[in-house]
Amino acid sequence: MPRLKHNTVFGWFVLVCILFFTAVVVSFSLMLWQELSDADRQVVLSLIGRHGSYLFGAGVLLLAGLGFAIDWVFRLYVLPLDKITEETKIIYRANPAHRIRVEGSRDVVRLAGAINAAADRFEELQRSVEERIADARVRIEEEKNILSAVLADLPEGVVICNAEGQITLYNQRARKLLEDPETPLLAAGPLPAGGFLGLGRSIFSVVEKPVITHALKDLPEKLRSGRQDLTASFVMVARNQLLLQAAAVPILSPLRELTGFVLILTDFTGRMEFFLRMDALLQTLSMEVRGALASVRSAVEVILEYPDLSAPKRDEFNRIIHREALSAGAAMDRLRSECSALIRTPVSLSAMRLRDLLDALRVKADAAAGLMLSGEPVDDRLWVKVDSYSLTLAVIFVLKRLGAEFGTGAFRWALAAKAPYLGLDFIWGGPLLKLELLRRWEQQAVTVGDETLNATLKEILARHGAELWPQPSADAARACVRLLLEAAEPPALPVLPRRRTILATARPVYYDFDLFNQAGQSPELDDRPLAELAYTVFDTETTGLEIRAGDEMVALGAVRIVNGRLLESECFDHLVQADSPLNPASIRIHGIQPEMLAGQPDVGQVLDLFHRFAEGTILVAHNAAFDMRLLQLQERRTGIRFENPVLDTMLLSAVVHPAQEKHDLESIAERLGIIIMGRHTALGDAIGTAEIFLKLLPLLAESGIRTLRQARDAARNTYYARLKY
Amino acid sequence: MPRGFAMPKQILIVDDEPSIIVALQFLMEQNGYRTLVAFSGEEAMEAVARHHPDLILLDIMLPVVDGFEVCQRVRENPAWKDIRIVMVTALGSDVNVTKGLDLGADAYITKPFSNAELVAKVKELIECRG
Repeated sequence: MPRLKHNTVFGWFVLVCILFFTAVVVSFSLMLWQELSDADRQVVLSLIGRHGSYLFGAGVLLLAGLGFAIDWVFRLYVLPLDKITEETKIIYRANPAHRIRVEGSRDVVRLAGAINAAADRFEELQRSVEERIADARVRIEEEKNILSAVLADLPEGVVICNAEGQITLYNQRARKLLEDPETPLLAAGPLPAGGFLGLGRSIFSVVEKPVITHALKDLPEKLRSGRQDLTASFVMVARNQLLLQAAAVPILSPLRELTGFVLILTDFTGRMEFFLRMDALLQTLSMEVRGALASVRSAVEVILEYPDLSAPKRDEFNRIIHREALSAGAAMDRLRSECSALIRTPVSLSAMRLRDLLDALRVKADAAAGLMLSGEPVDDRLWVKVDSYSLTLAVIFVLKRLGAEFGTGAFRWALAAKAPYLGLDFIWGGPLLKLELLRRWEQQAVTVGDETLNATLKEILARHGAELWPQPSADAARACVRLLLEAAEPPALPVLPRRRTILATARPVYYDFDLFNQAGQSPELDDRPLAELAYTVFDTETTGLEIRAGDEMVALGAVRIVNGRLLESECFDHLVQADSPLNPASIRIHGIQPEMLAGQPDVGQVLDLFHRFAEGTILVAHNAAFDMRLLQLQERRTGIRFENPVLDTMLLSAVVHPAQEKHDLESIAERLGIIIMGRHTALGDAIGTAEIFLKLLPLLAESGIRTLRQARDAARNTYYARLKY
Repeated sequence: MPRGFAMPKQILIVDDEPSIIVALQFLMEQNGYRTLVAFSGEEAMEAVARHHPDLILLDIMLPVVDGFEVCQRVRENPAWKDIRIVMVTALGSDVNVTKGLDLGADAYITKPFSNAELVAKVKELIECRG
């Protein structure tokens, strides 16, 4: 049924009433006229002639009275009922807290009151249902958060995609590996050059498509032959030049059809560099040693094969042998030092202050073995690379055996600098320990009380690149064992405790598994259901309202809606350096001061980034005509053209609520029960608009508007669409 | 040792390592060959052009122009078709052996080698050439 036509309907109704009334009067008059005799007709004509003006006046008054009566009925009964219908829908569709405020007849007001009372009850019921839903949701969220926490702490990047390559889950690590460095989507910073990783986006915007299709190309064959190892491993170079080792694990339906795939990514750059350096090192060494050996061997063979060699010649060959033997030795030494620098960066060892290590050792020795350990405080700047647990246990293990061997329970530590090592002496008053005994201890598994390491003392020392031997103490008066540890550089950055993941609120992973059920992305969006589409809801702030007169954009904020979910974590928020001055009135509204814009990217940079951010989505804005005009005016300057379909929440609100007078952001938000945080900031308004849009979707569906085409057509027909910027 | 009136065969030894050159030079001369020495790829090409040796003992890892390139350049010139090339190198991988032989080397000997093996290989190649 066409809407917003009440005045027309009313006009027609009045006209029909008048015509009907006139027809009745005229037909009765004609019938009466036929019945009259000639004499009576003369009398009537003379009466009309004399008193016609009274009769005409009475007729007009009658008609006017009728018109007023109809208008009264229309305004008091018909129009309010229409408004009541619309507002009742708001109550049960969008905002249960909404109440009908209507002017009309007493009956109509009573009806509205009854509906409001029903709404109170409805709201109460809904609240209790919502509470139960919320309870259930909390439990689901907890489970999801466990998944999130596990994924967030994985050292690997994880991306899950559906069969079309749309991303349904990713973790932050994946974002780091695949997007350009640091991806400063929020606020200032260098702008990324590649694609974005986000829910509903295509993985192919960050990974070359052939790389994935190549990895999965053997899958149908593997499935046919019933093979179990379906994972494809490959190496790829990310857009940020990182070398990634990737595993593509297919996700199969119960019918063993491909429904998606998991991409597990590991940064291989460092390891690859390591392998390449190692390889180069070995290559060089092998060549140098082979060369030296060749000279030595040739010379030796010459000496052996030609016993009558002249003395000077023999000398020359002897010198060659000597020189080349030295050069082979030097090459081996170089390999050893370079290799150990490369290899001995053991992952399990971490840099620790020596003072902290000794403190831990003292406490543990006392608690676990009843040993007294003391010594001079050590310099705070001394660091060692250790696995503190195993090394602490190993030292206590040795001290306990020393204590048993020499009947002592007290040791002092002392430092002996042996750059690049640190010598740590554990001194006691007894005789020197026999090396032979220490060798025997080294073969034993390290045990202290009920704590046992699954390794021998020798293994623990080897793991640390450490050595242990007995010798007299520095003052030669007592005995000690010296532990030689490799000194470490203090870490460049302060060591922060690992961030703890708090389950209840941790949302480091973003996922939307409903995308699995979504049809493939196609340029033909028009007939797709609105609820299935991906949207970029945006808002701009400007230097002033006269964009035709040169007012410019100073801020652009946007959020994404995918599968009916507002993804606040995937937002866009940039200030823009403008050429024209900020209008004081605008500053009062958005609070953006000129100095805040200094050093911000220019409009071309921000629009280029936004263009990529909004790629493949529908643009949504409140009063989109204004914002789109702003983008279009920049088109010639920046060459960036926004060809995305556009929806306008202002027009859509007018579509679903034609009887409402106000369709500004505040009024709609109030009507739909939305509180906009950060009103008049680009991002705040964009989020508010997105929430409004999400509430409008079911109301549109109720009016039979379910596809993008229908929404656009309906919006075009509203009164507001005729406003132009 | 070659006999008769024939001129002794000439061998060009190319290596940037003086020690090995001393040994090789001595060895070849003891076996009745004349020797020429080059310490780089450029020197080797010069010696080839000037003296047209019968055989080249060619190291691969030479500064600037390496042994592979020398080998290729020699093989590109049809006038030098009869020159035998023995690659003597510390690059021991199969890939390098294949590459050297494909570029036209007649034999490939990996350092460290036995003198007897090298002399036998040189003799075989020179006599085969006739």
